[in-house]
Amino acid sequence: MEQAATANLVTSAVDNPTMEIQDFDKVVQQYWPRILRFLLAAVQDSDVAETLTQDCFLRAYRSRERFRGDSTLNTWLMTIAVNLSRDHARNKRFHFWRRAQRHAIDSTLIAEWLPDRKISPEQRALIDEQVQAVWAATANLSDKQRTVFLLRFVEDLDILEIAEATGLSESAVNVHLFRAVRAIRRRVRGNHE
Amino acid sequence: MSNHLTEDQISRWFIGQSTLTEQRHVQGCGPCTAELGHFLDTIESFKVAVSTRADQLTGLASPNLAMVLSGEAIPATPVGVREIWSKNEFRHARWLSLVVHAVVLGLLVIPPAVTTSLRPTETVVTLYRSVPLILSFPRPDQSKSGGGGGGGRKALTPPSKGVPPRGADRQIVPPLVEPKNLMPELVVESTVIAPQLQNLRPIDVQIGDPAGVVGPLSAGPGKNGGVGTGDGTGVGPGRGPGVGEGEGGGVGGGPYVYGAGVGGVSAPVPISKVEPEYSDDARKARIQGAVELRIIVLADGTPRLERVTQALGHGLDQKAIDAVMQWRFRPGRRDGVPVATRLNITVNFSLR
Repeated sequence: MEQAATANLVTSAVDNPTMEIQDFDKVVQQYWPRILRFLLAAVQDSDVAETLTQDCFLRAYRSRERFRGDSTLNTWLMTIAVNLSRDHARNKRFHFWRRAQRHAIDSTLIAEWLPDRKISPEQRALIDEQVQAVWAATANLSDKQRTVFLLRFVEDLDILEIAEATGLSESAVNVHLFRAVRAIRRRVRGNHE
Repeated sequence: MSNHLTEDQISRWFIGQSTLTEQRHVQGCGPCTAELGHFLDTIESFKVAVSTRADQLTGLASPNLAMVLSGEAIPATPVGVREIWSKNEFRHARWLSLVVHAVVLGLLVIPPAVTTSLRPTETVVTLYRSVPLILSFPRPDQSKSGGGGGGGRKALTPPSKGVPPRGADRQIVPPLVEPKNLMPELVVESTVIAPQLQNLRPIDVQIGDPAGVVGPLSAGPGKNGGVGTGDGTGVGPGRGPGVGEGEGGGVGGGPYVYGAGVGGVSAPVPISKVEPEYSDDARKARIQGAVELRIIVLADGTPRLERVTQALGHGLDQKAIDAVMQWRFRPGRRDGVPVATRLNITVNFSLR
């Protein structure tokens, strides 16, 4: 599957990422938090996210010879992560897991992840509430919308990179992104009002 | 221009698809800028929250290549878990359970059968005094004849005086002092087994004991159907179908050499025995006891069943017969010649 994904990659690399992949230990340490962050938000289950992250790097390591540097290493790894999260969501056998993971990370829990900042309790409460709303809203998005949204706003990939990572066309990415933002805004505003 | 951005326009702005006009509006419009900024802050907070959590988890795991490769040993994909209340599909287990239950139930029901079948059944064979089954024999030499007979019908009075019936070599009807059936459909002459008396048959003379008394008709205090004070179907104080003292038939005293007495015939001896089995029915019902058989041992040593004299039921009778019929005997002998003899056999069945 990675092979098909990498074949779709468009050349956008400025320097030579193939050099970077030589030291895979360093790659793991450097990209682990990002991949984990994406998968955590995508599957909303810490255990599954960590498992999939490990799987992601394992797949990357096995097929590292096939990485030709057509895209950045980040995008390449993200492609694998996207595929893994999609497989995970698709797999019917994990129905039980998916149901259980709703309870795995309560949306109220995510507020505790926010670092302490010197803000008033009222502001803090407001931000907590909104973050929870976004978290809950992403859970209700379709897989494509959620993936596109997370890649854009959490991973800060641009439209082109998202298109590479997801295998979608640019216009399709835009449509999914638009719908995702609209749905989330609706949820956040609805919560707020 | 003064219109604020619609929801769709705001969403479009976020994904960098807003028109130039909209962008200009945002730059000059306080509420719109605030709205956009507020949502940006929210998204940013969301990103920070997720990033912080991911960093925490990463810090706990401290990932490296070795750890990634260790995933090769462990299947990275989770194993499917059966729904808790889903339909049970373990058909094998169900059948296994059925078989185990059947076996356990069977063991509960059968144990007496199983345990007793492992223990030997005790068979006690009692050989009663053998009774020869001589149906015909050569004419006796009168000088050597012996034996005697006796009988009676347990009457209180002594036997009537009279003459014994005709002597013959077989007795079909014992002597009768008082014929009970005066008009029998088939007239059979009463006899005693004493061939040497056959010519002394009196006619129209009261049948009785020569040593009896004159008086009312009586068969005497003896037993088993004859006349007199003895035992048997004969006449007189002896035992057997003959006349007078002695036993086994004939006239006179002492054993009847050719007659039906013990003296002339040796008892058959079993030379091979087959232990009878317990019948399932009797084992379950826990029946114990004895079956008595009367058999005839032929001259060749093979047994023939005459009758079952004491039955036990529950299939034990047949089991006893089956076993005894497989026995072989050394036949009883008279003067060294094998003869057929009658034998009583008691087969004891006991569960221990």
